[in-house]
Amino acid sequence: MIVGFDFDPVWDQRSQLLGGLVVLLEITALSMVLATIGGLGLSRLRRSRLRWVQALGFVVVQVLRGIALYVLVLWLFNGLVVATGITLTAFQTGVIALSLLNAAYLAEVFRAGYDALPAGQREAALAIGLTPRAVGRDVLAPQVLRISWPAMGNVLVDIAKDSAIVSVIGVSELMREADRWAQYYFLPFEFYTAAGAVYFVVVMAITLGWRAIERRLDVTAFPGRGGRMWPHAPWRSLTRIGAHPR
Amino acid sequence: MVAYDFRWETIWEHRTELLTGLWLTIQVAGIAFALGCALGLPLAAMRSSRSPLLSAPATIWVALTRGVPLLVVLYWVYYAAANQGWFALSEFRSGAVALGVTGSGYLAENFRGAIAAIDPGQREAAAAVGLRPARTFVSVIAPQALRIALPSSINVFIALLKGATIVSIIGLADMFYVARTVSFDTFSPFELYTAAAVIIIAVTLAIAAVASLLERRLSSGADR
Repeated sequence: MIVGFDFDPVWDQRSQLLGGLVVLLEITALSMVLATIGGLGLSRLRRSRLRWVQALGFVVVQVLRGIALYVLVLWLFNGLVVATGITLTAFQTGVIALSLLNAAYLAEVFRAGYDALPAGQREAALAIGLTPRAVGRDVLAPQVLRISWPAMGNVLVDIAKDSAIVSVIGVSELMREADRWAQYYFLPFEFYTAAGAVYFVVVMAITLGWRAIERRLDVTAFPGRGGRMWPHAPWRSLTRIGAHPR
Repeated sequence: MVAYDFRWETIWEHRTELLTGLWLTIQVAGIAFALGCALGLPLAAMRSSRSPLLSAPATIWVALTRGVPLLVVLYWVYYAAANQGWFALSEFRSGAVALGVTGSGYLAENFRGAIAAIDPGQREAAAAVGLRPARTFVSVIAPQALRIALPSSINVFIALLKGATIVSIIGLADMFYVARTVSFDTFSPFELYTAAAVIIIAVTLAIAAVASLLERRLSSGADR
């Protein structure tokens, strides 16, 4: 039997759903920060002079890239926590899992960024007497950031979408709230459609916002010509959302 | 707290269920990939079209499928559509459809990018020697585009395989469902989840290794 739509309960529960949205944004922001730190660390391992440190970085990145988020979340929350007695909340588990997996993606992004820099950058900076530390921090890192920026935006979008999976262990983020009320009212279409719409808006906002900052970072474009804040046709960015089906 | 009793033999005792579950996951991902390609090819053609009547719907589809989480699509296909009385699919089919729809947006952009990357001189040369546009596409453009799109499409397949693990949420008897139900009886979740995780990592890494090998092969050919 075909049934109609009843979106009124979605509106009635808007504060609950918005609470879920806030948790979604918290998880996403926290995971992105931790994943960036982890990714910088891992890419540093892979640029080490010691062979075994390089190998360690390679193995860690490959294993993390091979594992699915859902599997890691289950393993941490239902496996590791039960077996070792470590106490982790569902929220912490979700953030740890998202940070670990995306640290591996970002490590590859940063590595590609370093590889893209001409060797002359380092050599010239050393030649004018900068310490190796200052070369890394003031000369190489800012350029790597600019090269990596678009790919980092994709990772951030992937984290935001992937955070829906954390609902399965009971974190009250958007998907969990939508699921809860879908079952309460027995209106799955209305609540899942609403959740999907909110995710889409979040992802669009991240994509467009990120691209706006990208234009600011582009020092080669000067204001008035290429340096405008918003692209000509913002919808063009929307087909480049995320890097992986999530 | 009572110390956890590690019983690694439970993995071996339940090896058949676990591997049967793995095969289900691979099948879901495989069908989803085929569906994603079947949707992605016409979408790529539509997005390349100059007419907004063709390109706009394809652009909206690509943006939507890339902007909505897989889990939402899965719940939507499995619970919402059945509840509205539109269609009722099994867990297996819901998983394949949800993953296929999500994958189509990524594959469409892969294909479109690959076609756009081909030197316009190829098309002009084909026209100059008298090939018709359809013939040009099949014999000249498509083989070269395939070579460009293959590595990134295998990466989409790997992502779909990893995504297929969530179909156990709606009750498909895959490895993770087996790990959960068996550990209710044996109380050995750590061992079973570890086994399931190691198996899926091994499979995805093996496919990724093949992909990077292919990529090296195909790009070395392009350099000649």
